[in-house]
Amino acid sequence: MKLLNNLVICLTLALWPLSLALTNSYKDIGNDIGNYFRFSIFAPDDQAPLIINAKRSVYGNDLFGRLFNNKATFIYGRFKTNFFALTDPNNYFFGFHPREIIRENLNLEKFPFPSLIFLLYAFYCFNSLKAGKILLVIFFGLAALFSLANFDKVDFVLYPILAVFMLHGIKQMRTEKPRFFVAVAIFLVIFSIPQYLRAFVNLHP
Amino acid sequence: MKKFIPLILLLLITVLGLIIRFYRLGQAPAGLYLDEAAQGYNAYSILKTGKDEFGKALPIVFRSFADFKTPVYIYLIVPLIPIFDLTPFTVRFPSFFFSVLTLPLIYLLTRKLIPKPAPATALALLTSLILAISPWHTLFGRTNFECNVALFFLLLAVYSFYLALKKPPLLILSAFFFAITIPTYHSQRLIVPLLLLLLFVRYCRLLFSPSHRRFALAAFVFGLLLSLPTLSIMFTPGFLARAATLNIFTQAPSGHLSWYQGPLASLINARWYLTTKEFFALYLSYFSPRNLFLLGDYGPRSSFPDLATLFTWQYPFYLFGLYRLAIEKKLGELRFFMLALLLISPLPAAITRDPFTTIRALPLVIPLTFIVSLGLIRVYQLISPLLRKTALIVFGLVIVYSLVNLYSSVIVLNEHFRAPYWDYGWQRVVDRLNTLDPKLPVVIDNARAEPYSQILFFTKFNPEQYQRENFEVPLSEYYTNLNRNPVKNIGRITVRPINWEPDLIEEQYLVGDAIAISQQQISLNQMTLIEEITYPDNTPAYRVVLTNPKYQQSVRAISKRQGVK
Repeated sequence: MKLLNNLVICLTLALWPLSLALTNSYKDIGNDIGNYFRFSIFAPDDQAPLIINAKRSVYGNDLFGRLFNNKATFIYGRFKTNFFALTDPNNYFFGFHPREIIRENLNLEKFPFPSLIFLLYAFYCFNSLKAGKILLVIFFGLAALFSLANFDKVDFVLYPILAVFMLHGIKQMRTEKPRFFVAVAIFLVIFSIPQYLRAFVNLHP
Repeated sequence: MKKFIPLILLLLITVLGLIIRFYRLGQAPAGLYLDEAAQGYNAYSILKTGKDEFGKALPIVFRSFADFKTPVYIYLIVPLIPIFDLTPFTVRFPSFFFSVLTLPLIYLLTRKLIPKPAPATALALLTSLILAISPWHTLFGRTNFECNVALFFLLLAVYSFYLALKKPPLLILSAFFFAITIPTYHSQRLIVPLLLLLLFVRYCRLLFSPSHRRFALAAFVFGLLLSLPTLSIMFTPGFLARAATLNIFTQAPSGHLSWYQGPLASLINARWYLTTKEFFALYLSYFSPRNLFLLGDYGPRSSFPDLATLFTWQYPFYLFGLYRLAIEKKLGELRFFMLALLLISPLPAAITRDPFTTIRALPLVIPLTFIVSLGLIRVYQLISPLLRKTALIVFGLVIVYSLVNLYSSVIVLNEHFRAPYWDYGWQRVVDRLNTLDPKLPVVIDNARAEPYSQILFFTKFNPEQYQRENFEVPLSEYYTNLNRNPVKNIGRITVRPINWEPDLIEEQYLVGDAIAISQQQISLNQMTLIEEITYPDNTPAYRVVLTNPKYQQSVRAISKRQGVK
């Protein structure tokens, strides 16, 4: 059981750092930080006024048009795009949708998808996690902060928080539902084989 | 007086939902999509001749383009035509009607299932209110989509079932509604059996008890008899057409690395792995905040511009409500039902390849609405009593903002930017053709669109004559032969691709979109532009032109003399 437990932890937590290392994307992170404001939600966009005016012109009442189409809504729209991507479980377990390619994003699968069950279980047992509330506040706070610009690669900062939740889910399931834990672990091991192999092969065509 | 307050509030919520769905029903979305027109005309044809456009008497599923449509919605339109005439309003009316009825129904169902110590009335009213203003539910309540009617029958069936636990004869009524739900929309073929199975497992003891046994058996037989027509065509290509073309199991799996031919190919490109992963990714996407609160449905007809399926302000309440639903066992039967519907509803959509389709997953709107409402109620209970009045005022303002947001997207932006997707303009084409020389033939181009249903619809063409003059497949092969005839004859109008060489030497009207009939073509062939019909944003939609055979003949004669082909 201990071996299985360690294997589950290893398979769950190793994919994101491994994928980052294999893509070499950490190498240009300094460059990305240097260009932070160029990719921020406040960066000027030549198309923005055209889009805003095209929409605003449709309304009979200009004030009404301004309410939903102005510079602030445009910036808020960019913020929402980043924020919901950062808080989307599909981002972490499937690289968004399998047929979807997100511009300016690595589309990395950060955790093996069967591990989602551990994360869900962690939230189900949320009350038993001592620092749960603080971690959740930090997670959403950081997600909001990273949403101010292109979050790609920087989002790795969220990894420790998610890892704590995952570990909590694994621990709780192992003690409370050992049979279910074994079933999920077997499912995870079987599906991790192609997933990890792909992490290596995919990058060296 | 106090006991009437919930009823008054429910009435107000229903009226609000009615106004949201009724305002400019039939005019917004502008245009009439081909499926809407086809369903409307088939209902008209059934009314006039007892047969559909292909001459099939009372079909079990309706042939429609390269697809088959479920029958209930079409039969619901039939009695409306003598009352409202054949108009876009009429074909959208059943969806509107059942959408509004769903509001009090969800109130009754929530009240029925929630244990009494919980704030039952407030939660039920709030669920009804959130559903009334839901962009997701509103969209399908204003347009011709069968899924909305199916959702109503599903909820009614479940409500009758729960009533029948105390009054066993109602089991027969429940069976009737379950049986009707299945042929109302495709995805219900999966949802209804799964939900029935869950209910059966949960209540099998009671259903087999002496008080219920007779009625349970009668309900089963009655439901089976009602489902016999559907079961009789279950394995025909017509019935399976939709599932066969859309499901992920027969497609090439996503993520297949075709360039990798190494020794590990059988593992790396393992179909069991890729398809399972795709299924779970699709399934999870129906709970994804990114889809629910930001992107919405990618289809231009199943979403409103700048509006997702739920309002952004509902996001924290969605997360909190989801957590509360998972842990609050005291919600009893309501928790069971909402969790069951929450987990079952995305299944039909998750086995199809589209990333997030709100049509196929519509029943999900019910548990999601409930979850947001539960989140709101629980947050309200956490607020200090001193601040509750302020919270209520803020909530009221948020609802007003949501209504204004709905108006902005549903009426203003949708009409302007989405008109092409709703096949805007065919009514004006038909109106214009009616004013032209009736002796001249008309050719309507269908190279990029299928406008014949809209032409039939807006001309109210005699169905008997249409059935006589058109042939697609023998009636004995109605459900099995998927061949199509691309040429449609509607009196003097022929719907087919324009064939310029022969079409230009005959004096006739040609109708086509801006690609089929360009300005350059009109001047080159000296045709007369009768009318250019434009979309609300003033871009050309369709052009009606009169050919110039004399000019063509002279040009061709000169070309022949000069030996130019």
